[in-house]
Amino acid sequence: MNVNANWLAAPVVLPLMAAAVSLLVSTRVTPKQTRIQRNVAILAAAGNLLVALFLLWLTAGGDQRIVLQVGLWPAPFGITLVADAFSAIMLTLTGLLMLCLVVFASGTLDERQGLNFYPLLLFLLMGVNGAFVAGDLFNLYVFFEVLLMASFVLLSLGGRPAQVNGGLRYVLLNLLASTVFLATTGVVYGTLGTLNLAHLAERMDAAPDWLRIVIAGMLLVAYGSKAGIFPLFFWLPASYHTPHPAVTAIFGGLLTKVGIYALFRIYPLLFPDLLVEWQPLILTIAALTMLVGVFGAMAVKTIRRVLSFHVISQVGYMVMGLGLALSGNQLAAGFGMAAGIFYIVHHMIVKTALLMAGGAAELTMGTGRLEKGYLGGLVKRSPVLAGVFFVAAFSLAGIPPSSGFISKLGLLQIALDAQQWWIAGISLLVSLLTLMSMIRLWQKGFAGPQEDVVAPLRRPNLRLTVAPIALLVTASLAIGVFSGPFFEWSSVAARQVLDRQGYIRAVAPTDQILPIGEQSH
Amino acid sequence: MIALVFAVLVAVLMGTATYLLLQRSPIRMVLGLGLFTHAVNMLIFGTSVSDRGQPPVLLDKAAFDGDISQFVDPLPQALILTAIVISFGIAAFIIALLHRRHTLDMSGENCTDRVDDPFALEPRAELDAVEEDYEWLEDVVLLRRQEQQARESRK
Repeated sequence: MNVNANWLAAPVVLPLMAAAVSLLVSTRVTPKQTRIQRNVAILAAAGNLLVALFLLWLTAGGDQRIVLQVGLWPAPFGITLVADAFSAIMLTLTGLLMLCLVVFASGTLDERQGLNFYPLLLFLLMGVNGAFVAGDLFNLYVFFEVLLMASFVLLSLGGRPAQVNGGLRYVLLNLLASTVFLATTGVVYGTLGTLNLAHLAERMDAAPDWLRIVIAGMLLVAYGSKAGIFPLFFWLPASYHTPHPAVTAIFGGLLTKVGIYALFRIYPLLFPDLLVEWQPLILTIAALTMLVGVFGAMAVKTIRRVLSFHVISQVGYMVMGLGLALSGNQLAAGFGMAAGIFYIVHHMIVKTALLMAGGAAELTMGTGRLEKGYLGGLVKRSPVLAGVFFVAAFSLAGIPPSSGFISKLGLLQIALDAQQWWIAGISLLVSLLTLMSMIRLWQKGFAGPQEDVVAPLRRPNLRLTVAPIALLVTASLAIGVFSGPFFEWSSVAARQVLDRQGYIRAVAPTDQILPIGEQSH
Repeated sequence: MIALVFAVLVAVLMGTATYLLLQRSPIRMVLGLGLFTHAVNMLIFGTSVSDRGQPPVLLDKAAFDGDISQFVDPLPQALILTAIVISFGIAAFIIALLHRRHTLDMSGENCTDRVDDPFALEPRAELDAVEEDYEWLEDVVLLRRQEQQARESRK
């Protein structure tokens, strides 16, 4: 089908324009201004979701990539935007989460907290969308920075001491990771003479082994610290519990997944053989990430801290999918990749719903402390909120018929098929511990009597708060019940991600200029 | 030869930056980050093969025979320009955060962190950290109460 590739610019341009428009009214702080900003954000988020669904409809077949050569510069020279089924799935999920979040935020933020929240959210959306369609390393870096900059400000919006402390850690460590990423682009350009991903994929095969290992390792460090994998995760639990719950919800659902997306995109495209060679390393990282996350969650004592640690343990499962991407005896190669993509889909939906529900519980009760009976009684007080939290929590733990069960089953299947018994065992163990942690949250936070009332608060607008959570939870259940077509869909996306030649053909880098190193030395 | 100079320069800058980043003073950390990004910018600049010597500008278009082997690669400069803008913005944001933190310290309320220690909290602060999470909620409560009192006093 012939399609105007300019649609690909819309996910970047639309949020940018909307943010710029809504900043026009930011000069005075009144409820009216916040309302205007919120309405613009709702419109932009809905429009963005429509565009994403359109792109998904175009690419869902798995045989087409939409390529936009910005300004008609041919491939390695200009900016290239590429969308395949995986990008479109991520764009759609991002659009859905963002729309839900805007509704949730309008139910929980008051006017003072809401000032300029929505424009920042739109900038974040622009960065995330851009990272999903970026077709070369440097643009990936730029979009990472755009989303990070927006997230820095969102994280410290309000400027309370805890936020400033958490924000400093978050900013410094993420800036270091970005700098490593930038250094990698320098190394790549200096040695291979190009930054375009398709062009790099062509040249990477001829590159010497040491160079490929250096580049792959540096990229693993850079994306890994954004994703929160094992030795590089510590900025996440230090900062995610400090901002407003709406901010935590979108961070937990979206930001680490951008790092995971970059790993899922770059590794199969540039280093498919390293995925096999480094399998023990990647699986070890996955196992340690899972374990650290789940044990950390047991040690902390507020709802959002527990849920932040679970972000880390869940990232471990996705990395496990990456590690098993190309293995398989009975199952086709690529099944692991499909399981990983399916896990990302499940996780983004459920984690956002869970963090929203936990945040709403905190707001309703005035505290998120799990000890001493500060929380409790929420089942009676607002049963709908407790209900959606329950479903989301058990979806995260992997209880059927939720999407969590199917996605964990897929990973387990490929792990057993590839005869990696130990990682299968660890993933089962972590599932069990997650279930225990969720039961603890439920018992201490929702069931049981409330013994000590902390602060009578303005309740959040329950209808606006619960509706988006209910929508996401329903989506999770639907994915679990109708798992067949959804898994087929992620298999299509996985096949397309693994199809390097197709990617290179679609982008079609044209130049014949040799790598710089070969010319001058 | 120029490549070697660049390599040494990048190595020295990175070493100094790492040393500064490992210090406890926030100002040194900011300086360290600045040096670190400079080092990376130099690294990218080093990829422009500057020992070819010629600027990529055509003075005489008619005499140009298509030989580009003596031109310096201009693309790294565009990359560096972007990177400089980004790192400058983030540095400004970090300094603003540090300033905010400093004023919080000066007020003597709520913040039990030490000024010179960006990552480790005092043991007491660790105990208070959980309470700190909910300061923003308590602030909202206080604000509501003040509003209510103001309303009542008006009556």
